Amino acid sequence: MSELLKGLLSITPGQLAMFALGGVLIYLAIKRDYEPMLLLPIGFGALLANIPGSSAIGEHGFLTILFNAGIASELFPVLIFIAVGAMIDFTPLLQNPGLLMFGAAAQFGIFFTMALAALFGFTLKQSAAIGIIGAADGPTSIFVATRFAKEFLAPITVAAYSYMALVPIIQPPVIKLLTPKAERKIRMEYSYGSISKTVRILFPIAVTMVAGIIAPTSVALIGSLMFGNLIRESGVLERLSKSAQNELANLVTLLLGITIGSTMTADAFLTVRTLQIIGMGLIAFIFDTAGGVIFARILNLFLKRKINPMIGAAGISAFPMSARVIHKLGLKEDPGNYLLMPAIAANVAGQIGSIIAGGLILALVK
Amino acid sequence: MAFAEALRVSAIAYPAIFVVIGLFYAMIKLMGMAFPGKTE
Repeated sequence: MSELLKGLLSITPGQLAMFALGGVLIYLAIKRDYEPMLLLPIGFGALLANIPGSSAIGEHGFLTILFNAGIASELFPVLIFIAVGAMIDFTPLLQNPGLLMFGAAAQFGIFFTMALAALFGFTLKQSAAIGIIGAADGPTSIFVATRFAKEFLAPITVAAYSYMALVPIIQPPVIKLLTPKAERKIRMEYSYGSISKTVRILFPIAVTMVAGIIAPTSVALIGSLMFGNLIRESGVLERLSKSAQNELANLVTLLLGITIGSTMTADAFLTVRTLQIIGMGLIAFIFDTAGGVIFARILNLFLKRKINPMIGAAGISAFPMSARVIHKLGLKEDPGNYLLMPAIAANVAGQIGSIIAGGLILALVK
Repeated sequence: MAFAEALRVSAIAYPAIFVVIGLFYAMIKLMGMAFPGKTE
């Protein structure tokens, strides 16, 4: 009898808190639809990891084995990128390449937060891993955190995915604060020009080569994303493209979430550092948005055909959430103003920009 | 120390993203000219 009660009697207050947190993540995923594909497995993984004496973790635990095989080896984020690449249609960006610049501008939060984290006493590598939450890009966050701050992998991942789900709440007030109403009503011209199949096929190859030569450390990230996209655009690998978009994406997402959740043990997660990381993640998203919006406003000083500065905020990687948010905001200001397509182009640019940012940080932080 | 390094990395990396993205822009323009899409 005492053997059966051993587990119950050995539960610590920290583990109880983690049960509650796991429950909250599962609740947010199911009831609020906040990134359910990730938050639900993460929440359940947290429950599994905190049950006293859990056989799911430890040397022979299946979650630890998955962690070593998929996260520590950086395999899962790369596989996710192949799937994401197969899902992305770069056409809006190829039609309006000028909007690429917002994919760079809206990475500002990464660098602001990196400096802030360093001020809070984190090491440079830890600061870089925390800053990359601002990439608004789960796989890149996991990839960089695995290299630079494995000890903070769980809070960084939870922050990245949670704030991505909260983009509709985070971005609008920042945009409104930084733009006058008249500028939010600007209507944008958008080109629907035809893009040849050759360009669609050459684009992923050329991007990989250029980014890879400039920052070889980014090859795993950009290369896998563009490989997925090449499969999609080649037109001869439809079966593989569909597999990447469905089976691969689903299977890796399933394992990724629960494996990340398994690192959320009470002793590792319930720390002041975790709270700081969660707080700085929010700051990263706020300053990403601000960076994109302010960049658009600066551009407008020199442009004849003005850009709606809200488009700048869509330069983050949270796709298509951010584009939808900007489109809705545009309609709210002017019911005849359809910003969806330029916002999608900027949003796709953000996906490229975030990976470039991740690759450059991996290359520059020693 | 970490703060100064973070500033140094940021001062290089943030502008570098614009440079890389600028190269992509030029690439797309060149590819568009070399292989134009069908006109309606």
